[in-house]
Formats: sequence, C-alpha cells, structure tokens
Amino acid sequence: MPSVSRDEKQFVALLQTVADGLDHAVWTGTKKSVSATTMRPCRSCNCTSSERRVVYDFLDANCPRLVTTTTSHLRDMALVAKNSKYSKFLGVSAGRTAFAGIVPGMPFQFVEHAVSDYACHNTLEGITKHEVQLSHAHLFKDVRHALTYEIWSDLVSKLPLVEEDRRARPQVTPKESFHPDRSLLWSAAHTKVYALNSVALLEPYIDASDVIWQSWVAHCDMLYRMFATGFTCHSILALHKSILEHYTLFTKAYPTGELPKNMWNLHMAMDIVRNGTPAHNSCIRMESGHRYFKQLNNSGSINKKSQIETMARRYCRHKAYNQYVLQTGERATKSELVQGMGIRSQIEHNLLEDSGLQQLLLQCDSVLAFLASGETTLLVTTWPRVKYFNHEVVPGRAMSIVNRDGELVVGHVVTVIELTQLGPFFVVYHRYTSGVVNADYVVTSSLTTEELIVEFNTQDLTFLTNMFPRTDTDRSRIVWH
Amino acid sequence: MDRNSLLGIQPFFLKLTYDACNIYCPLGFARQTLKIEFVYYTLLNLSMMHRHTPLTNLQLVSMCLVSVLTEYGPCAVISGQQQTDGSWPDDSSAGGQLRRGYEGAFAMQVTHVITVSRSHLAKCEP
Repeated sequence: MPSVSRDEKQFVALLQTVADGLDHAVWTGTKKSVSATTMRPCRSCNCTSSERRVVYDFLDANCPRLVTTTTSHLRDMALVAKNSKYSKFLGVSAGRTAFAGIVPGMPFQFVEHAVSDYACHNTLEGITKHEVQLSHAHLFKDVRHALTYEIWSDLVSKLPLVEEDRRARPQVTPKESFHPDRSLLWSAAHTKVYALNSVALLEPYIDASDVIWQSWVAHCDMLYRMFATGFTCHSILALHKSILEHYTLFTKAYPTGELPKNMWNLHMAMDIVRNGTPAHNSCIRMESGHRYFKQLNNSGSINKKSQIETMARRYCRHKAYNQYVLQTGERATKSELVQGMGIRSQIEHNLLEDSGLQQLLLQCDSVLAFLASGETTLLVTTWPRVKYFNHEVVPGRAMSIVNRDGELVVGHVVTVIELTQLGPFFVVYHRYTSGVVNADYVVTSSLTTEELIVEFNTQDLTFLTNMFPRTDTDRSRIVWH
Repeated sequence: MDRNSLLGIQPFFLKLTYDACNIYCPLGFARQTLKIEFVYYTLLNLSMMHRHTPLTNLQLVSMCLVSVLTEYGPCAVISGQQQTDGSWPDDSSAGGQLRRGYEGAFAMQVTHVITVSRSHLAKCEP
C-alpha cells in the first residue's frame, strides 16, 4: 500500500446528501405535507391518497404507475414555476432547490439524484412505531393470546443493549402510566432492537393464525433485510418481496390504518439501487448532534436576542476545546468556556481551521489508499459516485481494488454495467490469482463501501444485465437514466 | 479529467446532512420557540465505524431559521447571496468551499460555522 503524500493536490466532491422526510422535501422542492389528507403524498410515484392502498410492484416493468425520474421532476418544477396551481397536482413546491448554485456548471440532474430519501428514518420513526402501537393494542386485548403486560415487560427487560449506546436498552413504562393507546416513547434505535428480537420473544404467547401477528412478523423480516450493509441483486429482490408481502398483510390487518410512509416503503428497493444502502445513509445519528444545542439553550446562559449567533459561537468554542483536549491529552482545569476562549486566541482567527477536516484526514490513510501504476486504473471502493471523476473503467483495462479484507486485488475489466448516469454501477472483472486469470467473474459495485464485493457466476451476470436494462434502447415503464 | 490527471490527486468526499430542531425558551413555551435548521457534513473517506462516532467527526457548517430557509431557499443558505452578474461569492460558506473544491483548489482550511439571518439575505431574491 503506497503512502499518500501530503503535497498532493486535493480534490473534493459533494457525493451525498441525507435528510429525513420533511427536510428532504424542503431541499428538493417536493411536497412537504405527508398527512393522510394530502392529495399526493408520495414523491416517488405521485400517487393520490386513495391509490396508496394499492400494492404496486415498482420493479415490474408493467407497473401502471410511473416512477418520478430526474427528467420528470425537472419538468414538473418548470411547470410549477410557470403556474403555481400545478403544485397541487404534481406534488412539487414552487421553490428553488438547494444544490443548483453550489457547483456552477454542474448539471442539476447530477445533484438531484445525490439527495437520498432516508428510508430507514421513515420506517423506524414512522411505520414501525405505528405498527408497534397498533399491534400491542390488539395483542394485549385479544383473549386468544396469553400475552399480558407483565409478561411483555419482563421480556423487554431481557432485550440486548442498544448497539449505538451500550448503556441503554428499551425501557418499560410502568403499567399505571402506560398510555392507553400503547404508544411507547422509544428512540429509533430502541425500536429497532425491540423489533428485531420481538418475534422470538413473543411467539410462545401469540396465536400464530392471527393476521395482525403475521403482519408484524413480516414487518420484522423486512427490517432485518433492510439493515443489511451490502446488497446483491438477489438480496434487493428478496427485500422488495418482503416489503410487498408486509404491505399486503398490513392492509389486510388494518384496512384503514396505513400511513403514507407505508406507501413510500414500496419504493425502498429502487431507492437503495439509486442511493445506496439505508445503513450507510443514516441520518438518525446526526440528530444526536442537536443535544448540545438543546442543553446549551436550556442552561439559560445564552443571549436570547441573537440566539443563533450565540449558539454558533459557543459551538465553535466547544469544538476547539474538545480538539485541544484530544491533541494535548490535558484534562480541563478551567471551565469549558474559558479554555475555549484561550484556544481561540492561540489559533488567532479560525477555530475550526486546525480542528476540523485536517485532523480527520490523518485518520483515514487506509481509506485514502489508491494505486496508480502502469495500466492500473484507480478505483476506490468508497466512491459511490465515481462519475464525478470521469473514471475510465473500460473493458480490457487492468484495475486494482482493495477488498473488504484489505487485500489488493488485481484484474482486468470485462464490462461495466451502469444503472444511472451518476448513480450506482457494477464493474465486472476477471481476477488475477498468482498471475493467472481466474475464470470466475467478480462483480463489484459502487452501491456501498467495501462490504459489497461478491462473486457471481455467468448465470447471475446475465440475470443482472437483464434486471437493469440500459435506457437508450429500452423503453420500459421504469426509466433509468 | 483523464486518467493521468488523477495521479497525485487526493479525493475527499463529503456528505451533507440537514435536520430541523425545535429550540424552546427555558422560561416557557409561550416566550419563544425557534425552529432551526442545522446542516452538518461528514467525511465519507472515513470508515463506517468512525464516520458518525464520535460526534466530533460531525461538523456543523450552517444553521439558520427554517422560516428563512423556506423564504429565501436553501441555495442562499448554503452558498450565500448570488451576485448581480449571476456568479456566486467565493466566500467561506459550504457552497463556496465546494465550488473551490470542484475546481481543484480546495484548501481544507477555512470551515466556518455560518449563521444566516434575514438581514444577511435582505437583498436576496425570495
């Protein structure tokens, strides 16, 4: 692995933007409201509120509903800009989008696709909590089941610790304060832990023929597949099948209980193909960053007249103080505020100059390792949008890649399958093993990071090519471009 | 950019995350409620383990009122006020840094937390 010289020219690209449902709507110009009375709640297929109870298969080429593409989104925005009354029917706001002005000269469609709708956030914060509430209200009440509140609370206390926060597990509300509608004040991580373990825990107490229980089991199966860190074409199809199965059972169990987010879930498989895995697009962790500002505001020690500026200034001091402790290893001897101001005077003008990316870059040598020698083409596995760099991964060219074990793999490219202009692509190559070409095809993808390196045989390659046809010759209903 | 020009280039990949948060006045809800939009970035070159944990790897680049965001557009919040000749300011905003980075002159040095108020965007076309 060659060392990376610090004198090399630096290049930066905004590859991905992530937001939850409401903020995604603000930044991309789609309709913000997602209530049950919204005329067209789904931004992906623009279906009406009555159509959202229909279980569409959006990976089927004969699906009667069109999926919104970049071209159609731009066309809708142009129509709404001319006449705002179209906004009601097209589900598009008459505002400017965020990223048109960030990089002048970059076509808008390159950027619009980089905005990923965070499917996991919609699921964990939306439909999973909703279904936990609905199913518990039924399971505790139905006499066919042996589940009582005491049994349930005892089982919840045995759940494993939350992965992100090992000090906490889903807490049980005392029965006397348990809400009548069975709503639980759990975070998304707690809900995820409960859902992934609930089937095994509750199964002995539940009648398996209950359709509500079957819907919950299908829900948990969908969650399990959704949080995979890597996908192949087979696992994407399996996820899509489980989503369709769950939505069918859910609409059967709760004829009027569905949310618009249930409809959004039908687009999850395609969203993963376009934007990458939900596990990598997580924005739940970023919400933890708000905690500092909430605590700062509740402390009452900030200026209420210029509140935002005060919070930003205090945040800079906080970051500088943390960086000072990280660099020097010295513990705080004064208050955080005073220490932060001292560092500010040392660094002179910009607190984040030495505490931001420069320090982070020192930690990522292993990730930044890239090779360039002879005919070896650069290909870094953490590039979800290599189109920015006009990569020249063309058939016949030698290539190198660092696999998930950290080993350098050398081969030559057989073909490149591009799904979208900017989005994911597959590179099929022959792998050299001890100087001899291995007969197996190896397929790597830009969908995710190094986790997704799988080996395919010829049959899988044919299947993959047929599954994602090129758009310039194909006129299917689902338009890839 | 051809393959050879990639030699000697250090690529950095950023991910922007934005989220709104309600900030309440500690004196009571009736006093004031602010809905503030926070924009963070993370470095995608980092591994998954270190990308979001600890939170010090999460950098705040902008914060503003949501009402300002919806009135003037997110482009103005990210990139600043557009010049009269149609160009964008080459300032220290996140958009300015990304533009410089796109041209290959990203210095990775100036990363301010910018706050955007109505007075700053008074001349900006809503």
